[in-house]
Amino acid sequence: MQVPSQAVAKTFDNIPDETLAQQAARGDREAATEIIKRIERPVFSLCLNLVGPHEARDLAQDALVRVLTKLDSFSGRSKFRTWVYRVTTNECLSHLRRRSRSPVQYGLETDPRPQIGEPNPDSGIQMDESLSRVRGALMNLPDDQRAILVLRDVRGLEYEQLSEVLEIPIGTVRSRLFRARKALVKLLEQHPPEAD
Amino acid sequence: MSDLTNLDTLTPEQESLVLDAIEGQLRPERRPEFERLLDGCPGLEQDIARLTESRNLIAALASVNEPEVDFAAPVLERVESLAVEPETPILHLQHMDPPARPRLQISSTRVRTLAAAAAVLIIAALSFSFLKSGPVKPKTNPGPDIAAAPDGIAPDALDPSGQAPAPELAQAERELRSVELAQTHWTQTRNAEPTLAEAAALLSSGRLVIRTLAPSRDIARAGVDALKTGLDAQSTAWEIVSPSARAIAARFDQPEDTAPIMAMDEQTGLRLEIPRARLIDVWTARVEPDASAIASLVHSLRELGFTVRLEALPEPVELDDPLENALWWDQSPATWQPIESAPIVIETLDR
Repeated sequence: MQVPSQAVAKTFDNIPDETLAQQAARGDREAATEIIKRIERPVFSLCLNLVGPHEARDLAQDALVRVLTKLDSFSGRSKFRTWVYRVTTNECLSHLRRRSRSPVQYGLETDPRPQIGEPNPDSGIQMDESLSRVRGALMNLPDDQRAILVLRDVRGLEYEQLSEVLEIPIGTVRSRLFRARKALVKLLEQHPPEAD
Repeated sequence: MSDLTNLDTLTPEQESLVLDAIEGQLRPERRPEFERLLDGCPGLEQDIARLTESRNLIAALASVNEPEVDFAAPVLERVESLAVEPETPILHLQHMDPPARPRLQISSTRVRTLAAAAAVLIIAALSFSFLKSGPVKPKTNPGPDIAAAPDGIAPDALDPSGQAPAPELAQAERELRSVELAQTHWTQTRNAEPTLAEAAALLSSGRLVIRTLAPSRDIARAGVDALKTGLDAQSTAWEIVSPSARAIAARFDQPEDTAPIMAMDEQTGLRLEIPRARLIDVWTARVEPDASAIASLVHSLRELGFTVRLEALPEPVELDDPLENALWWDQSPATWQPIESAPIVIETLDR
């Protein structure tokens, strides 16, 4: 008897990320596809806020490839998502460090960082002026400060998770977060919204 | 508007209080402390309001409707192309094999044949050297086989080529060689080593033992210290838990045998007394039953200077798991990984 293909199609609805990760690590292609579908948006969003709209897609793909090829090093001691954020953040910060060392310097016209308050016409993202302004301000913060603010306020990570993702002690998490908040306020106030 | 200098004077404790207040997570019992802080620092409340406003703006980015993405196909394509030409893994399976060493024959019933052959060689070498450059002075401390060697000359004092008296194999060099031979002897007298995949299956059934040999007590002690001080920080796939119970350790302790072990080094043609391996300690490792996790642990032990050999035990060994392992229980079952225990038997060469 021939079994209809739907009957044998795998369903992953109730399978936790961690179990899927194990299946994918053993070479299950469908599990790997499902993992990508589950994490691609948060990974892309994190990349968008860490490296900006011009490079987010490439970096998100790089991070996803890294996640899939390093699944065997995921031990399960942390949540899978936390581990994914760690891999993605490392990918983005490494990229930014390489870029900063690059002999090709970004001039004012070519700087991929959006100016504060300037919308990003090619990002495909609809957002109001205040959000556009805060994203611009974020992109002008030092990388480590931007990362901690995005992970905390946009991705909602707890201090323990931040400690794990950024590989810094909890005390450093607090002090860095505090410094980042102050720096962001200063940047935003140096570039107030334009009056109508 | 102030330049936030009020915030620059806060202690780390006060910063923590302010961070909680900004995020609306100030616990009721800390509110009086927070209010005292505000009372004592005019202008601070306004600064905190500005921090809160910017924090809320960033948090609003989470609700931005970002474009749909579909990375599955390109990502899988890249992953599969990497699988065809994989990156160099951290540990190849081949790395589990012991390094090639000169073959070793340990004295046993064949020792007499070997001794006779050595004696013939020695006589030939001595005669040649005597004719060429005069007699060789006998050594004062000829070694265990002196009685078997003609003319009271230690066999290891001679160049195996028979060209001339050995260019005086220095004591240190001889010791080094005897350690190498002892390590080879130790490895060759162990049971057949399972593959990593077999080791993972043995680990799952409680039948894997990780045997290690340090070339000296100092290296063994340094290795044990490394285990105590958190060698397992190197990996998330395994951890070193604690020394095993005495009953477990006793299981791996061999009855003492004081007879010397002689080894023929085919590289130099010399017979040397080699040091015996003695049990130092037995530790418990908790390892994911996975080839890469075992390879990682073996690699780390080798980095400490141990010769490492995986072995199958005939019967499962019941290892004591200390209470701290229960800390895993507070995590979601979804995060649990199967993890198994194996003894790490630490031996050293008794020199």
